[in-house]
Amino acid sequence: MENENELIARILAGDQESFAELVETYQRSVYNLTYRMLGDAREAEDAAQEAFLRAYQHLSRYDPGRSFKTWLLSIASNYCIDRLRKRRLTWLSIEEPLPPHPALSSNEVEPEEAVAIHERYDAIQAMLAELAPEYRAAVVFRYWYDMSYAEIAETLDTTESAIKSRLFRARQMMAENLRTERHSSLIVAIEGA
Amino acid sequence: MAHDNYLSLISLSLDGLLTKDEQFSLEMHLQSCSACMYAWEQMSLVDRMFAMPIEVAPPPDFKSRVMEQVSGYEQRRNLYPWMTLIMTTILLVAMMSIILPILFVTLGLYRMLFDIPVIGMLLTRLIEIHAQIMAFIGTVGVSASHWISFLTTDPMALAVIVTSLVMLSIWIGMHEAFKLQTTSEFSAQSA
Ligand SMILES: [Zn+2]
Repeated sequence: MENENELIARILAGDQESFAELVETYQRSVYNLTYRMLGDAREAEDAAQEAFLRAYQHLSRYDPGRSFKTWLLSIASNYCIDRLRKRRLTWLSIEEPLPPHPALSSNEVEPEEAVAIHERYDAIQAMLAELAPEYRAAVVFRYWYDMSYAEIAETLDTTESAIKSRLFRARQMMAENLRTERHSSLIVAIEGA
Repeated sequence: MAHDNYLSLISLSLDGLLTKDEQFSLEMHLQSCSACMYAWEQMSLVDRMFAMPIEVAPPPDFKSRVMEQVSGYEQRRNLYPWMTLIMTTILLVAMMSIILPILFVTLGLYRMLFDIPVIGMLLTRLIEIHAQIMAFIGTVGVSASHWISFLTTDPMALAVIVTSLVMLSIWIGMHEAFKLQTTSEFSAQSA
C-alpha cells in the first residue's frame, strides 16, 4: 500500500500524530488477536497497547516490502505468546474461570440472538484456552484472519509444515476436549448455533 | 497409509488443501474406518464452531491511550541524551574528587600549589586555621576526659554529684506537688 508507506515515512520523519491513523486502521485487528489469545478484556487491551507501542518504537525496522498488518500482528502475537508462557509458570494448575464478555462488535442483535452468541463465544474461548500459546495463535490466524498457511508461518516466524502440524494437533486436541464431560454443554451451544 | 496420516489429512481437508486424489483416498478410508470417521465428525464440529468468528471491539478510548503512551515514550526519548550527559558529568566529578586528592598527596603535587602567589598564601592560612581548630578540639577533648575520669574515680566528687541529683529530684517533686495542690484548691473553690 503506497499510501501506508508514505504515512510510515512521515512518522519516521518525526510526525508522531500520523501514527494515530495507523492505530485507527488496525486497532480492531490487533485487539481481536490479543483478546482471543489472552481471553481477558483488560489484559487484551494492555497487550494491544503494548503491541502498538513496540511497533512505534521499532518502526524503522519495518520492511516496506512486507504487509504492515502482518508485521503488526506478528509483534502482537509474539507478545501474547510470551505473556502466556509467563502466566503458565505462575498459574500452572489453576483452572481459569471464563472472563466477562467484552463489547461484541455487532450492535444490532436481538436479545435471544445475543444469548446464543454469548454461549457460542464462551464455548470458543474455553476451547482456545486449553491450547498451548503457539497452537492458539495458529488457530486464531486461521479462523479470524482467514490467513493461508504461508501467511500464518510468516506471521509466527516459522515454516508452513510447522503450521500444518500445529493446526492438525490443535484441532485434534479440541475434538478430544469436546468429548470430555466439561464441554458436553458446549456442544449443545455449538449445535444450536 | 496409517491412521495418523489420515487424521492429518482431515485437518488439511477442512482447510481445502487436499488434491482430488488425496480427498478421494481420505473419503474411502473414512467409509471403512469408524475411528477416523469419528475423528472427522468431531474435528468438523470444531471447524463449524470456529467458522463464524465473533469479533470484539476495542474500548472507545483505545486510540487516545495508545497515543498517550507514544508521546510519553517520545518525551522519555528526548530527555535521554540530557540525562546521559548529566549522569556522565556527575560520575566524572565524583571520580575526579576521589582521584585528584590522592594524586595530590601521593605525587606531592600539593607542594607546587604553595608556589602560586595568592593561592599559596590562602593555602598556608587555611592550614594554620585548620591546625588551630584541631588544637582547640584537642584541649577541650583532653580536659573533658580529665573531668570525666576525676568524677567517676574520686569518691568525694561522686558523693557531691549523687547528693545534688537527689536534691534536684526532691525539688522537682515538691514543685509538682505544689502545683497540683493549687489547682485542686482552685477547682474546689469554683465548685
Ligand atoms: Zn482410520
